[in-house]
Amino acid sequence: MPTFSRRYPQNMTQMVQEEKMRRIVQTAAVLAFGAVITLSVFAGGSPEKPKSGNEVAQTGTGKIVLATNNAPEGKGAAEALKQYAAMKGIKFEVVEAPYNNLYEKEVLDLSQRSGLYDVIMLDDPWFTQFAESKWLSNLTPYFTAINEGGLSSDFIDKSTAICKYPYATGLIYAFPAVGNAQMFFYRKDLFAQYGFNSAPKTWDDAYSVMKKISDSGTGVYGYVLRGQQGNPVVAQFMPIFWSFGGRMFSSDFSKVTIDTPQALNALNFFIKLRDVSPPGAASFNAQQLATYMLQGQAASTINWPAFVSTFEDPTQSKVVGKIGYGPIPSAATVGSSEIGHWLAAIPADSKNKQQAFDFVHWMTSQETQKKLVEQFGTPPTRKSIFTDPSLLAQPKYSYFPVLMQAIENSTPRPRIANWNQVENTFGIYLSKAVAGDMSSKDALSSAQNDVTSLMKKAGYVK
Amino acid sequence: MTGKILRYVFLILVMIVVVFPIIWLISTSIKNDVDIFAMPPILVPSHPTGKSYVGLVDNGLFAYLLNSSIVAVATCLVSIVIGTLAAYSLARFKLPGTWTSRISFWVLSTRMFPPIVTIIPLFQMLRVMGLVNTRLGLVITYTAFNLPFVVWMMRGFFAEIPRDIEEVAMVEGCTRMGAFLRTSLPLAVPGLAATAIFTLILSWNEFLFALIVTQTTQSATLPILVASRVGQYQILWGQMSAAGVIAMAPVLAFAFAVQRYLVRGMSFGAVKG
Amino acid sequence: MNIKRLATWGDRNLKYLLLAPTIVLLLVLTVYPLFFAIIASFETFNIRTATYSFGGVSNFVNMFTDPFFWNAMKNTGIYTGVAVVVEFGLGLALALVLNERFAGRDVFRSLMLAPMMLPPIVVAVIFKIVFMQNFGISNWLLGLIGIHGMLWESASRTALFSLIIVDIWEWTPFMFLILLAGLQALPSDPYEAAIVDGAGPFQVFRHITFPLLTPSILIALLLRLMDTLRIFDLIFVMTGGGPANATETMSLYVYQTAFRFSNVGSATAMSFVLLIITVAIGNFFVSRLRAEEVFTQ
Repeated sequence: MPTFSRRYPQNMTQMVQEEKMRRIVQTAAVLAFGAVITLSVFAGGSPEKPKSGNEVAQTGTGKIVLATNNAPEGKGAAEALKQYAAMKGIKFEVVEAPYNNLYEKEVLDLSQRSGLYDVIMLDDPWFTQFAESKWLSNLTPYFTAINEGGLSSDFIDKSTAICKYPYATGLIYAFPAVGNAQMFFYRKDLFAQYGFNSAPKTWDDAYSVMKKISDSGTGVYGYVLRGQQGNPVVAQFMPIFWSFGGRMFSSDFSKVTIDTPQALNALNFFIKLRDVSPPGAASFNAQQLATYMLQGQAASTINWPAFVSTFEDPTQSKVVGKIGYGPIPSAATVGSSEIGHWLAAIPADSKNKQQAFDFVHWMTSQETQKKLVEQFGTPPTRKSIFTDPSLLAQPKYSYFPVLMQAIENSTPRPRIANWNQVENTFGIYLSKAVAGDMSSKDALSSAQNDVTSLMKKAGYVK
Repeated sequence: MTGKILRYVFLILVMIVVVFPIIWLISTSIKNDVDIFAMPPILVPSHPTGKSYVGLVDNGLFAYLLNSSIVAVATCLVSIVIGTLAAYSLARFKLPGTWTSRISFWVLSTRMFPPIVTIIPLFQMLRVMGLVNTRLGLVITYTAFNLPFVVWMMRGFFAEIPRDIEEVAMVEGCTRMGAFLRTSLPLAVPGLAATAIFTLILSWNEFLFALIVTQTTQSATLPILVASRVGQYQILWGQMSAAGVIAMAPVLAFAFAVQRYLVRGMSFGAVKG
Repeated sequence: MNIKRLATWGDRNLKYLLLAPTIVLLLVLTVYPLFFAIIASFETFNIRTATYSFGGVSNFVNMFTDPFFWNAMKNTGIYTGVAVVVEFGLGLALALVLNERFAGRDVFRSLMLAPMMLPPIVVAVIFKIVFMQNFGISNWLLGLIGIHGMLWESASRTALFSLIIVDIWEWTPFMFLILLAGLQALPSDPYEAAIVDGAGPFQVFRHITFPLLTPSILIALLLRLMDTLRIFDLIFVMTGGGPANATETMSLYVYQTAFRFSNVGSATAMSFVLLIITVAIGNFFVSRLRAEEVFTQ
């Protein structure tokens, strides 16, 4: 900073001016400080007492603001709101954002208690943090007010479970809107060449085919995995981790169980998968995964149902009609995919909760959800729609039985509020192992250490 | 002679590196999705399509264009007016003590603050003022960003313009402000033009704060449109490229048109004694 | 108060009035964030209850033992150092070449300015497409001269340098512009004298051009340094800080800490460190500039 020198004023004028200047600055500083204090009072920098009590809010603002994803899953909700608003004659606004930005926007709104949104679409991994921070409205009283015990039994059990906090047993904080769970995608034609006319049931079977395809010299790789640190690699790894019998934590999260023999088997197998994947897979994310499959250069992968329609789109895919779907193959235990539903919840600070609840209830009802499925191709969360004969008769819903089974056998990501950080850390070591920068054993033990300290900091592990 | 040839070779090589990525973006924006990552790469697609651009229109392209334009122009006007006046004051008048340099440095230091941290308090302030998701909110934010640059630049220009010109005007009966408006300001036009251009471009291109402040097409700007082409699982490369082309076209055209002013305006010795 | 008295008062206090709007706007828009940031940096966050509590200097202490923090500092240092130096060198060379008159000069100048005009997000998109490993044009071109398998921004070893390449592409024009403007403003007398004295081109550059260009050089370096230290948009869109934190600069890490991990206290603490460094660098350049008497007081 420039030096604050005090020169003797040359004459009276300068002295007067110095004094004037000082007074101006002081006044400005006082005003600014006053403004700051006032703003702090209104802006509420620290959270006040949470409002997600057990009353049903009665007053509304006649307007619903929805925050949603800009992919088909999110657009379905936006379209539903448009129809609902027309039906009820209320105003509405849709805030659409790409996946990452949606999370940040929602966190900003919820943590600053600004009440900008009345309904938020959230990806399941975010749910625990939002619920535990008391940012979501408890929906049970609203169900009671319409004489329903809770979420309809038509929703798949696993889908309902993730909407409750604590998991499966607690209060209801969200509706399951889009039924995402991972599936095993494979090239029916190539797998048939090696004797598999249906989806491989075990990882060993699957791997044997992948190896043969990679070795066949046709330029097609047997598998494509994503190894980029963070969510990409963890999402790819978890199904394998679980099917080899691995678990990240004990059931009450008091112990971290990453460094185990089952985990080592899983990680070693994961690296075998990398060897039959295209080079550079260690840093792939979802886009590269898609590109390799769509261009026909990879024969199998684990991915989300949103890809089904892309694979069948001739303007994007070179493998139309050649992709088959199966449940996650098994190893030591039954294969289990990550469940990654999109949920619809109502922020605790929304000013229009009753109407918001009404809307979401309507949006996830049997008739509306079925219409959304038909219009946007997004998977449902209701058993009745998954087994609807009129839908099953159409080839584009041929994967429904597989997906429903996948959801029923799915495992949610660990229900901890700091999952983002844990996933990030776990993902760094997984990525290093896949990149060959660390041995599997070292990666797992380092992950065990770091995740344990994260869990201690968050108060799960003593 | 060899010097001249070397010069042209060097420049042409540089130009290829500079221009090629831009051309590639334009090329991608008119390709079918299947062709975008085809190997070997296709420069000129055999079946060019306007599909990506049409897709953008369906997604509210005109709203984004309107918002970007309004915000950029408004920010430019406000920052230039406020900043130039302040710059003039700093250049011409002696503030008591070391206040001039303190204020100058403070103005510059506001540009040093990492933007991430101002996001949350800014969001709170805008929320309290009801300016989240409004163009006005963006204009206020961007003006705050641009002011340091405007003040810094224009102060340099005014410092180069001799005081005598204004003294003469005041002797002839003008007030200080009058002298400023009639004599110094016109001489500083190249500097004003250069600064204005930078202000426009900064507002047009800004991404992070637009991301935080805007929620819907009511106020969202073009960079948001580009970013919104990222899906959860895959990127809509065609549409993203088209949005990129649309976002860069006015800026590039504008830059070519005013290139001469930019160079001249940036010269600190705009007026030789 | 009649108009005449108002006008006289205005005229006497003109210097303050002219400054007032700027000062007020900047005060309001920077004082609160600064105040907020200072308070926040002393608060620790409990993610399970979403509450803040006073944590003393724990944010700062934890920061210095956080390997991710040092990684981010290292990445920022490398990125800034390499990018600014290369941009300066290239920009100077281009400014010198394009300073003279020759056919087509204006065309070259216009084209040269293009990259820095583009929105950073568009630049990121361009290079994501160009750098796409097996499907991008850059690898295809490299393949023609026998280099294969370059992973650019997707591999931790090459990611940071890939981004630096993009930064150089985007911002060399900025250096070029400022240096060219400076060159254009140079007086001709010293050059004429030098020719009379029989000085060669290198001597002319070293003893005349470079010293006279110092103010422009300082300004160019100052502005680029300040901006590169804070760089965010480009990296955010291209790699998001990955792979394996290879491109996680301070801004990215602060963003992740504040928004993904909801730890605003730690994020603001780190930002202060970055701010102090930037201010120190700024102060260095500003005092040099003042020494050069660029701004007449």
